[in-house]
Amino acid sequence: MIEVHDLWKKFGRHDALRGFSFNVPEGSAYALIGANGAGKTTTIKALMNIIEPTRGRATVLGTDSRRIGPRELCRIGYVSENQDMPERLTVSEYLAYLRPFYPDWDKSLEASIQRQLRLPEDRRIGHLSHGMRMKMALACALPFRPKLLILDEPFSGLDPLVRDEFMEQLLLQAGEMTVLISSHELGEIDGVATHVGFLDEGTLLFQESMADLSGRFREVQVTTEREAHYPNDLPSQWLDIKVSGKVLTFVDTQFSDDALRSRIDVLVRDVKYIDAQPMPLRSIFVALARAARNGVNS
Amino acid sequence: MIWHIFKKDLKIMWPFALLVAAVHWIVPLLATIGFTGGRGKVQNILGVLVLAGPLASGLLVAAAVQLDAVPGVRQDWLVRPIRRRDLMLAKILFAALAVQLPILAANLTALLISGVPLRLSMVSAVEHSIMQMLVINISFIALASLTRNFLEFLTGGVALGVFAAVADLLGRDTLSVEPIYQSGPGWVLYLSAYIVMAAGALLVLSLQYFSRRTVASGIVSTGVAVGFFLAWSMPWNFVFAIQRSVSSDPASSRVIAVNFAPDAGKFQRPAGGLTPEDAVAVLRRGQGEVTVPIYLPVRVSGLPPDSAIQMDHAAVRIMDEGRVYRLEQQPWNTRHEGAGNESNTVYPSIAVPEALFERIKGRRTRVEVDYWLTLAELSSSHMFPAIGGEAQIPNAGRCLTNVNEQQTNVGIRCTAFGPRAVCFHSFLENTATGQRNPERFACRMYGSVAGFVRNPVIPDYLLPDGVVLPFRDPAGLAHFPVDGSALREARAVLQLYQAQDHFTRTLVIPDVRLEDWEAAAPKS
Repeated sequence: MIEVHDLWKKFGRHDALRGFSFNVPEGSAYALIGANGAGKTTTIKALMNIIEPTRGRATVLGTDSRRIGPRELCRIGYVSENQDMPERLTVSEYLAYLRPFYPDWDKSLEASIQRQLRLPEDRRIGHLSHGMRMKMALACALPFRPKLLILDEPFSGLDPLVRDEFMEQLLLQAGEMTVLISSHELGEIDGVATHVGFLDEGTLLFQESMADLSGRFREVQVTTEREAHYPNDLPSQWLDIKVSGKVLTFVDTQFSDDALRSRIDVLVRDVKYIDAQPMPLRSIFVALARAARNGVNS
Repeated sequence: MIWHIFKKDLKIMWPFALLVAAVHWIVPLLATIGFTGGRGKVQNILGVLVLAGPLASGLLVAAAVQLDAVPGVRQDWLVRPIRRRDLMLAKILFAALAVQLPILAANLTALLISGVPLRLSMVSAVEHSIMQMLVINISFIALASLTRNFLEFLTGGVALGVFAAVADLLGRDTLSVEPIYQSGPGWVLYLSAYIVMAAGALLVLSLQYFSRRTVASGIVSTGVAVGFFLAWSMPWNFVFAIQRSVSSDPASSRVIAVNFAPDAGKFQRPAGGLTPEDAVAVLRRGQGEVTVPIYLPVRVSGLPPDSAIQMDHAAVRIMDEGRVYRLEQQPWNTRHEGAGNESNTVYPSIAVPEALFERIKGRRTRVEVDYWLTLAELSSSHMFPAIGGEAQIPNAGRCLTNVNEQQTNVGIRCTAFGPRAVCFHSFLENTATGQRNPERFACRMYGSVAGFVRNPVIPDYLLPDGVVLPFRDPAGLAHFPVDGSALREARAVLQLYQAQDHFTRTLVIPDVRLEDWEAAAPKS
């Protein structure tokens, strides 16, 4: 659905994107995660042909991103926290304005979404709160049943109630559509995303399916008989190593039960108890972000 | 989808559009009830409104364009299946229907109320609107497409305004000679500048809407500004060559010759008062430049029946001991009334800097003068009472005569619409004796392109301040055949001329002493 190959974007002397590649499979919900300034929004704007990449290539729905035009945009829904809609039009006026541009616009679906998101149809867009605007953007992105839905930081600044309404509507309409979502609000993506790509300072550190990611990351706690010490020869797949009294904790990025036990037996003395817990996406992101900042590869 | 986008823009902008339309309606309505001819506060208000109109139009166009701004990455239209061509055409449609159509309607209404015939009113209002769309509104759209908000638009506008003012200042000729843009062939500058503006605006629009290249468009805009400056600074030879290529009767000037006429004697300074050349010399002195006027007699021969010659420009070269001094000559004209070919002698003045004059006045020097001239032929002659006269004159418009408050002169003021004469000759005539008061001959711009962009309802006068025909000298020095007592029986005569040919001549005087051609003292 989306293929990105060696994508670069320079702003002056600054490399916002540093030549990364990734694929978003059809039907997937791909989460592009990363800290602020990692390059998520720049990537999405390049995919939408809002900005032109300096180098490299991206195809969206089989079309070169530089050539994306009305034909492709009829099949792409786009929601962004940085989206300027006409402030002086009311909600219903703007929906009415957009309708003729989309051949597949479903008016009953539009009414249903508008109702479920509780959008005040006679209120001017300029008078909507931030949360309402995000819901408005979603209401404008779904009625034509897009093949691809691109969400750029959709949860930023939303209160929990609005987030729930937003997610509920998103999941309700998701169906067979492919979703690319960028966010640093990892709690919201967990359970939604099927694939994840981790961007850091314009570089994609990894991308894989959530199932694989959840399978290989474990938060490990080793309890010893005596005072614990840092192992002498640290394996590269262990991140975020901490020692506190008789407890050694770390994140194993290549988890398998047998390998972990045998490695601990070699590196740690007087092991009393080993506990390896699956990690939520948020914890994985934090561990990776720290490691990236410290120059450690995962 | 062009109409659909236009409707959206109008839904948002209609209060602003209504306000701008109101500004444009006030001017022609005031003009219609005769305020344009007045003076004082009403005239000042009208002046402000005339300036406010284009500014308001510009802001309205910018606001409409910026509803879907081109620069930036946050605009919603960028992610919608909206054809960029449709978006651009929708903005042009907005400028045409929401901005220009009310102006056209206002102008048309005012012209009809003024008594201008329907066809002429339609032609005048429509041609003005088309030119304004092609030159002004398209430029506004282009400038707006480079900007995201009013502040950026105004900043861009002010920057261009400053550039234009500096260019104008640099392009102006010196005090004594009319700048090209005020001369007969000046329309060539206007037309060239309009073409540069329109072409540049279309290029910027294409770059912006089809490629969203704001930096490249900015460079093009700078190029357009430079092109505008170059168009505005075109040399005389080039401007006149274009003027010449559109002469209506290119062969008619062939028999006209311009020669030095020493046998005509010295220029006789008139009794009392300053000559126009003296006035120029005084002004120059005020600027720290002291000049001596030299009057070389020039014979213009071969003048066809009922014709006139207008000097558009002259370049004077005085050559002395291997050095060439380039000077200017005051504009002059000469006429021939009646049948047969005739020769007239004129005394054009050359302002020679005093220091130069003192150095070379007694030496034998060579003088060469290149003349750029226009031959005009009488097309019609009209007479009306000197006091309270009124007439609708083809190619001049509605003309009125009135006496000024000081009771010193009769003014003729013509409000012209549509095609108009380029030169006129006017005088007061005693109906009983046929004697005439001092006559007035002048020419305006030969092409009317400049007028297209001006509001057609603000009358395009024959001369901006009307024609002034004196009949009484408050100092009592001059006496006129038609004086105050004879004014009731006198008539004002207005003769209109059309340009036939534009041509050049070079006058060569191989051996002349400048001191021989200072003005002679007035005869007692």
